[in-house]
Amino acid sequence: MSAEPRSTLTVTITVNDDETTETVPARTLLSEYLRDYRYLTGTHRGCETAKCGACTVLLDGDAVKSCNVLAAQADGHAVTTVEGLAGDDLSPVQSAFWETHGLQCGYCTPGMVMSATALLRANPDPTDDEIRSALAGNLCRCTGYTKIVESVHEAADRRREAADE
Amino acid sequence: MSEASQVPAEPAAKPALETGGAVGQRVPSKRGRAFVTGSGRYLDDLDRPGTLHARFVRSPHAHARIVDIDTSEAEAMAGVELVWTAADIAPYVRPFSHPENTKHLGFADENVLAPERVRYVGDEVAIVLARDRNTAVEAAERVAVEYEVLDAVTTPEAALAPDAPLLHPELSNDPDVPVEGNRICTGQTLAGDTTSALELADVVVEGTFRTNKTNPSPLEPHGVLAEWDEGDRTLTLWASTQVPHRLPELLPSAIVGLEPEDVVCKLPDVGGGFGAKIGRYSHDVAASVLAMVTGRPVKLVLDRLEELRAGRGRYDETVEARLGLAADGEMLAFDVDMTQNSGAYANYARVVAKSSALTAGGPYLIPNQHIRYQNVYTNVMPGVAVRGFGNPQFMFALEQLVDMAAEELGMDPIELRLRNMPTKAELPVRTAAGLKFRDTDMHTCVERVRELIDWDAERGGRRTADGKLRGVGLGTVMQRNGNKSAKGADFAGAIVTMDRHGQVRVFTGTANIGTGVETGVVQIVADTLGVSTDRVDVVIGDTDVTPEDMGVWADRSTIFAGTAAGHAAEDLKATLSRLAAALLDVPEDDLVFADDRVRSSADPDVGLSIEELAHEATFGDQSNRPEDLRGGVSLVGEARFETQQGEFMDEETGTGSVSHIYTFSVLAVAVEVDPTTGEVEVVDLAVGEDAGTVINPMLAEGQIQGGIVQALGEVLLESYHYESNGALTNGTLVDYHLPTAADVPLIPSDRIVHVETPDPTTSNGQKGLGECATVTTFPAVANALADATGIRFYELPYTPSRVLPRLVEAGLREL
Repeated sequence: MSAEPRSTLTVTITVNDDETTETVPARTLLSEYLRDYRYLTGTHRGCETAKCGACTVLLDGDAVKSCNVLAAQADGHAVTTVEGLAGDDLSPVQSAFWETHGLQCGYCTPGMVMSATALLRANPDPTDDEIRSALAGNLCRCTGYTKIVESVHEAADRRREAADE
Repeated sequence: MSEASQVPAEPAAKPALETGGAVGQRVPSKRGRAFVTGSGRYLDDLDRPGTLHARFVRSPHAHARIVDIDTSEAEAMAGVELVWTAADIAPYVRPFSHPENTKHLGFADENVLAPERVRYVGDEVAIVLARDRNTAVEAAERVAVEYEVLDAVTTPEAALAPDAPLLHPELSNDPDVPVEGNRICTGQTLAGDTTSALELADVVVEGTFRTNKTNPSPLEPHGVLAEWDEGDRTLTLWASTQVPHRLPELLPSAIVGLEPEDVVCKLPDVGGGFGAKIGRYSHDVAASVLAMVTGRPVKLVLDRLEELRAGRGRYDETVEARLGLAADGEMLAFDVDMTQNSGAYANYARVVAKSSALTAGGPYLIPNQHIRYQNVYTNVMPGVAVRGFGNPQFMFALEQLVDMAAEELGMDPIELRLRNMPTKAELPVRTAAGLKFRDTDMHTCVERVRELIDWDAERGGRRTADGKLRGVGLGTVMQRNGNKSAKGADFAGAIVTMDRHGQVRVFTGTANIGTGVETGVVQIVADTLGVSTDRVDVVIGDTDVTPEDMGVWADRSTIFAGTAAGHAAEDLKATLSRLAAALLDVPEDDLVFADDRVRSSADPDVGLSIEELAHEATFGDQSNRPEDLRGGVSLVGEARFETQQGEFMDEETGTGSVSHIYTFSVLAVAVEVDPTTGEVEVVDLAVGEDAGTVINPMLAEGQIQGGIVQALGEVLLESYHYESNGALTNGTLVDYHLPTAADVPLIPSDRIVHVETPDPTTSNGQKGLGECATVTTFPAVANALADATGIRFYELPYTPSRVLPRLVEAGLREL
């Protein structure tokens, strides 16, 4: 291998409802694209080996680890990051994680919030074990997970209440 | 206050406080909104114009001589600024080590880049600086290093063998330093005479306990961004660290021509620490030097693979221990030989051993103690002061011996423990090791846990309906809160200001690494001033503006930073009070600060809002003020809180009450062992802890829950595995399995009991608590496993591969 210029690709990706076209090196990971080209640093790098989940985002609504996806693979698709969840108010998952203390240092939090968001869209009233299983791809080193599981239950309650209104 | 109060699901009013007090309430994290919206700013999120990215070339060998380094291919790459080896950086740096090693042992054994010899897989060999991170990574891979591989040693047994290869032969040959062969040093805690006491004892139990090498793995990797200002000749360092005020002291000792006054350290959000971010590392030194040399900002963030190879972790230790008791259960003597696998560099090896030897007797009053330790160089990753600071290893040994003694004596293990722990009425006492035990209620903690885990029914082991082997066990600790001896002093400063709008700012030099100290500080200050927590902001860990502090370690921050902030708020309140008394024509003693107002206690309608008071202080008619405030009202409070309880350790005997106070904690667990697989599952837990006044029950629970789960990973799942040649075989997160939500039990709040005996010396009666539950998990699981199986397991971790063969031996294996 030599130090020749790398090949590049032009990608059009809708991030948090904002469609943008960029030319990026072909090897660019979706996590790198989000951080370095869209300045969305809420997507964290914890391992870059698809083990820790800190970089979890929604790709066409599905939770994916963005260090395990090339920006090229997201071409023509829609990505939601943690920055895209809140409207005027925090989303139910965000407010529940904050107020139930499903966070400590905050580094895993965006990934946890995205995984929990995807879970609740698919399963609005999950059990403890369904939550633990759905979040098993997201490492947290601070909380011991109890308050994260409680946060997801609380978020489920808040989503239902919001739907009832 | 009741002696024992269980944390209720809903916040309970604290009667001692004025209306609406925040202390004792479940106030959400001050940074929580930023964290859930992705607005946290961690080191890797920071950028400065013209930033260059650094990447280490690391050794693939555990022990080798560097024959040649060819940097030409890497240097020729587009975007590569420079590639340096030890020879290039040598003029700018000095060898470094933990200050205790340079002071007490007389040597510094670490280099920012290995000059001649590498000593573990991951040792830094060269460094690349490039325009972006990916280019730096690629260039580092193209640095060609020729090694002459040497024999390696990965265990103290191998390292202490007569013909063992030496890691630091130059130190071993130096008559002025204690290094002998691969043995770095020895030390002790000595009180009384264990030899005679063991002879007189009716019962002596003994065992050799082996703990594992683990990595606390804060989810945010280590990282630093360094910028040199040639005009001011100032180095600004943004660092993911636990000790922002200590780095400016530590860096210059490793960098030629840099003085402490030249360094400013600023703390971004920090994604966990657990002791791994307590010191100064090669990456701090290298990034700083390269920023000074190039004049460009330099960022260096480790990746996860580097973290696992070189990020530092918990020392694995072998604890050969004997406990002697009288027939009535009185503990007489604790005698220990501890050997620490210290890794390639001394770093925290001696400090961890020394601190934990001091408190090795746990909460028990054992009159004769002799804890001998030796630190040994091996070709594995060096260790650091991970959460618990050596106590998990010692309590793993002591608390198992206590259970073994109870069995020999035919006593209930809890009764034996209570027999040897001072009651609240017996305090204060000074232990044989010189520790001042005060203001704690161990017995109530233990009794509450006994009830919660249903000890009397569960103890003794049984079969569950689905055929599991079930048992219960517990562990305790008296955890150090701060350490005056380790750092020369123990204190924190704080400044509290109020601006013209009545907004309050706390300036504190501690660090927010996830423990929640910043939220606790806000609660304390808000209550002191009678304002809402929303009105209080925190400026934390910025040596340009924050007052001196020792940082976050040893459960000290809520005590020190919290008390300093409380006292500084009192100082500000004294000024506000004098002004308000004059404006309202109410005696100072009759003023009440509450609900964002100051008012007369006699007539609630006579009062001012905090905004009005701040406005009066800033723009008000000078003639309305007390005479000495007419020349200006400074709404700035300040304080420093320095321990008057902590002492310096006697270096000969290793005794002395180094900490401000000690937090008692007990954890009981129930485990179930699957006799077909050997899998150990923790199915129930109960925590009793006397952390004094709990500032924030929700955050305190989080610390306890997280501390337990971190330790469950270490006890059940994690362990470094090095081949005998020093190759690391599980240095990825695929092979080194950290606990996930699916692996660990939920720990509901109602399993956690706070027994709140206030510390009379702190602002609100608080003590520390973050490390306690991590320590107690080690012995609690060990004792529960023994209760469940009737087998004593001496070696961690308790993986099926280790448990199942013992079940087979004992005829307990089922197919």
